[in-house]
Amino acid sequence: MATLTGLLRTPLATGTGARVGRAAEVIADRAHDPPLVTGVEVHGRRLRLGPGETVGEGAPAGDLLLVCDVLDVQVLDRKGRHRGRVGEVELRRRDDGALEVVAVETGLRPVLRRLHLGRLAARASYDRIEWPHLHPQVGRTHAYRAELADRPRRFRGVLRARRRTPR
Amino acid sequence: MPAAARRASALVILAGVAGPGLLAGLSDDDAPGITTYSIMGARYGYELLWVLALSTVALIVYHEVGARIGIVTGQGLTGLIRDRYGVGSATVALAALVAANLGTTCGEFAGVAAALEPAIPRWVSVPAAALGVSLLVLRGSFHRIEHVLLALSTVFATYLLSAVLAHPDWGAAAQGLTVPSTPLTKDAMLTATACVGTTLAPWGLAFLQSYVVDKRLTPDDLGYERIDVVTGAIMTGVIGAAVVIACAATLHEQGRTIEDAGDAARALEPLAGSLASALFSTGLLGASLLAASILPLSTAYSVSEALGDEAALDDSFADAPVFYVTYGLVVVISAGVVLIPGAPLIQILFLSQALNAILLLPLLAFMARIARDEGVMGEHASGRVAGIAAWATLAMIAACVAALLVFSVV
Repeated sequence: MATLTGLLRTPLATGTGARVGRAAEVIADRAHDPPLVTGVEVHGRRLRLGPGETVGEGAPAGDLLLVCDVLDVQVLDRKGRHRGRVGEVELRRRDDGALEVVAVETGLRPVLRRLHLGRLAARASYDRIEWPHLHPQVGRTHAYRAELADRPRRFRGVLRARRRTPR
Repeated sequence: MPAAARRASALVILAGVAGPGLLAGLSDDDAPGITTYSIMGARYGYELLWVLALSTVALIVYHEVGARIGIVTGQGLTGLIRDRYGVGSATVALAALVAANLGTTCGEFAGVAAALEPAIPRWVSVPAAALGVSLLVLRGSFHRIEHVLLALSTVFATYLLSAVLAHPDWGAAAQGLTVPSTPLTKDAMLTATACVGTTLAPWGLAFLQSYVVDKRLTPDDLGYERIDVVTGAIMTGVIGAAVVIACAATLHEQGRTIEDAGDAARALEPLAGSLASALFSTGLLGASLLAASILPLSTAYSVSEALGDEAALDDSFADAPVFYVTYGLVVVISAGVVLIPGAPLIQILFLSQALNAILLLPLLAFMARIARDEGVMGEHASGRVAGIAAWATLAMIAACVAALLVFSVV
């Protein structure tokens, strides 16, 4: 499973192998369901993203900016209560090599992983919310509303899960 | 609706909305604050009162900005930093806030100890205060907490009485308040900067923004919240001025120096009578307890927001473990440090205030930018006048810090 922050760390190159740098923004096409990653922004230039993280010239399709519009944005439930903040965006590679948005993670684990605290991250809990359950909040700045009947499924870190396993 | 009914209705709404501005303002008059104002009055008499007046204006400007951002975005300060600038920036801001807040909370528990010693030893008073404020904040219902804390803040009236009982020279006080002048020394610059830093503390800004979110105020409440903020800030300035005036009229006139607010309370007795001294001690105890309640709460809000585990006071421990664990750790560590024999409390207190002043500049710049951003604030974005006021205030604080640096080097 690919992740947004993993993609942001990946050095990008053109089809001929020329390096162009790292992406500051990842653009997805909201017209697709789920949204399809179509491009990146590198040094202020918008480039089309192809399979295997190669980039080409041309304006990518779509209006969903995964860093600006999704990453670190707060998530509210149907009653407007805080359900955390998007710490990671999960991407799935399709058979044709393109990436699509499938879910977001909230909670401590993605934060610790982004701060390079892998050992602590393994112990921390996180929530995973499928993309179709998220809708931009109307009338409130930078929030997503999670259409969930109850709390999202909470995953525990590997070490904690082991400790909880009955002998 | 008849005019009388409209007025009554507005008062009921105001009573429901009021609280964040009053508490955030009044808790700035905490033990380090009272110490700073006492030292200012004892060393410089009425001369630096104008710095306090300007600090109060800065408090009004930025508490209004913080309340407006919190109400419009529904996000606390560190959460908004993460939203706009990412996890790295939020972590750096959070680390500085936590360090400054831990130091300041130590100052609050040291204030409790100073107000009650020698009658009650600190190994009794500090754990009792830590337990008491924790039970009050964590076990009380949301509205009871707010009302108890506001009731607690009424002890600040004791400072006004102390000032009157000290028989000050009101003409000199009025001149000090309105005519800017300062000795050009490093110590005077340090005192002025500390006055700005303690009046407009970063943790107060973070608390105010988180609290209006926790209270779920809406843009319809903005007008009432502005009344709350301005009232709280003016009361903060008046109480601070009363402390400066009380110490200027007694300690400065007699040429006596003090090291902390406890010294000021004890030193007032032979000069202004035992009643003034007792009132000063009572005010110090109340100020310390109020801020010792709010500071761990502000830190817990900041940590849980930055880590994406936003919490409210009516959440259970299972729903908000980061919030409650942070609250507990801040209380235990701060109270523990005060109980260490020979701990350098004054240095901790002043270092934390210096850290507060340094942290203030990037935080205020961030808030001023957000408040002007129509993409974030929509119709509630700062207009030209509010924008100029915010940046002018920031420039004044930067000038204070720069003057301190210059006089420290020269």
